[in-house]
Amino acid sequence: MNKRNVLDYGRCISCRSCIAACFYSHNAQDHLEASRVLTNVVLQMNCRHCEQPLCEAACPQEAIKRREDGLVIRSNIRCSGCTSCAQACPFGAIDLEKTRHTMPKCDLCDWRTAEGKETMCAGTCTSGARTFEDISDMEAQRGRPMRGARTVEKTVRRDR
Amino acid sequence: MPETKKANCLFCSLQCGFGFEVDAGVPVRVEFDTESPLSKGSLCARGHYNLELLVHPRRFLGATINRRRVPWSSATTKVAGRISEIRSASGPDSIGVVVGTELANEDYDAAVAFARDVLGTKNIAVAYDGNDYPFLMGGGSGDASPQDLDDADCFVLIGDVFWGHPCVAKRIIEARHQSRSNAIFTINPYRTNTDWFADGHITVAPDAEPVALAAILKGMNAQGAPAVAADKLAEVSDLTDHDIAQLARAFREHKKVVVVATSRLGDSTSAYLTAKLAAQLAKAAGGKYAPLFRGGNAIGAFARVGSAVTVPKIMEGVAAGGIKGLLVFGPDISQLYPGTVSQDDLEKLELLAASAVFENDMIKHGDVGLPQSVWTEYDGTYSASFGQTSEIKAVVDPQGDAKPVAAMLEAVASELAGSLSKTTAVAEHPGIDVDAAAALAKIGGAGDGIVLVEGTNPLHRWEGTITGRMTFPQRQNPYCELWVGEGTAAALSIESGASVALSTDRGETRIIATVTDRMPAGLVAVPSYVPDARGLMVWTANAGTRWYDVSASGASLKAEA
Repeated sequence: MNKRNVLDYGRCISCRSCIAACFYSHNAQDHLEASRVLTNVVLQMNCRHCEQPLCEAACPQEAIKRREDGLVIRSNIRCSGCTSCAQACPFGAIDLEKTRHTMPKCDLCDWRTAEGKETMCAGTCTSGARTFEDISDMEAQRGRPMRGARTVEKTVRRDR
Repeated sequence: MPETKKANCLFCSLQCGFGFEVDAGVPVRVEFDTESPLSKGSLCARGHYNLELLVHPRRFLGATINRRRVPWSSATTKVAGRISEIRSASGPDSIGVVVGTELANEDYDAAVAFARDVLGTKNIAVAYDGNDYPFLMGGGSGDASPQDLDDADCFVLIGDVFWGHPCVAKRIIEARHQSRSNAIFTINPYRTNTDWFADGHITVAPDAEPVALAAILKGMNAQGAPAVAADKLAEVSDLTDHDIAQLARAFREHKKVVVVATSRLGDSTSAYLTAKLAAQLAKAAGGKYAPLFRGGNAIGAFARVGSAVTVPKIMEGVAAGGIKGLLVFGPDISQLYPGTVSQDDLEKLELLAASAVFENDMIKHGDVGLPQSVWTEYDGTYSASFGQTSEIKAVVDPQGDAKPVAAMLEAVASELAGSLSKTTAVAEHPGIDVDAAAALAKIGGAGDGIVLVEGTNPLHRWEGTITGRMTFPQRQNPYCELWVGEGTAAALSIESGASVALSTDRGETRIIATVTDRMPAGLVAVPSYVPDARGLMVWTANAGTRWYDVSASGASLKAEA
């Protein structure tokens, strides 16, 4: 599967419905975090499902694995909540769940995407900002390869 | 094998469609309904709470008498017996009925028939949140349809529309992106996310939206526009004659203007006038008007029950001893009408019977508690914004002893040897009589009771009714706090947690102070807030934060006794 969650910052109204959808569909664990780096926008920090995931390399319990279909999945049973993956992740996409002491991370709603549906956060989006798209389509549309979100500051709309 | 069942959300008057994945009678997940005429599959954060309503471990599911669990029939017998006693001793009007805004139209019909035919009382009222009723009386229920949103080339958004009703955002933004000439104008006292999308943000003092609207209407030479003095306009907004001429031209030039207004949270006179002038603006611009209400079925409730009697009037009767029995179906009126409904008054009642989804204060202080079904547990029809009527079929069976309000009333009526007639009674609205010109002249100005910051108005709270136990969705009004530096606090003998009075050129507000070493000397801030995923409040300095220099002459701060 080559589809990923994409957020158009120019359309996001910061309603946080995506975070609620994620919370309720993942047994009340937040897989999607809202960053407070920039306080006037909500930057959703979700997993990019990297080709060479640093969280997988950092995990001492071998709880995080990259599957053949490209999804980086964490095993709830193996995870001990040691926060190694959170420190390794270059995107800040993983955060400690303090109640259960685990490190929940985005599983790209694999039970839905297996049926051909979009992810919960993309489905619920109230402003059309969050979409579930094929990376190759996006690259063709934009004329350049997708390279994570290092340039996020440039894409965030300015406070007019 | 799980099956998907469709339902509608009743957390605001948009009534967005969604679905439940139901496995062996238990709802397990929320599914999106892309065929929903308004939301087209979107669902806001509140919408996801529909699932938790059904599976919440603390649902109120057993009938109670004096907080002890009893069989359902004992509770209805007790209610009927007490009603008979009160009615024979003090007459039929000594019993009051209060209904919430999240019931089905059938429930309202049953409540009206119950009050009129069985009890013979005229004391029946709708308990509404925010300013739904003045808003409906000001501008009606609107003439826009969902299709008008797609076709519109100009939007006027009054209030924080995207925050209160996020599911209209997709259509508005998409319509905006269709053409470069499409425009969005907002009228809002605060800098919110809605205003980020605006081509023009008309800032006014809080509660002064009608002044700006009246000035724009006058600029458009609209018939019947109330007059606004130039100094009044300058006092509450930064609008110049040039701005008004530009806006009037824009509204004339755009062919399909849609005015969307939220039932706001300020003063009710201002809400009434805002709705009235917003509808006038839509008419003058040849467009459509779409009011959005807080109560899910507020439109249906007011159409059927009317508002000849209000909850404050009923509570006046309770305090005076005229009303001795009170039946409350749905809302927690002590939360919705703080300062009006007191515990002392409720204790005077000979009968307080309440139904609710959760064990709220009405159940706790009441004589009889009746568990109420959620709207997704029974069949019913509901009136929504944009002229829509939605029908909800039961998704799951009612849990425990929970029943719809109509079934409760049927049971009590049969005990009283009466029956509910099936005729639909549409009540007359008494109307609100506001002198627009006088009200506009009064709005705003220092010390005129204007709301300085979000959250100081007690009506601003999103608690009570069924939403009191929300774990995720936005708690609309945490109590605001004021940040003050250590040096300033010591000089004014202010401690953390103490109440202080902040006066500025825009009015005075009382607020709780937090002393911090991060504020420079002489400067205070009233921060905006962001709810996090668990409903906890996170205070941040953001675009909504207001900063005041109390060392200068413009603002002053003093500790309150």
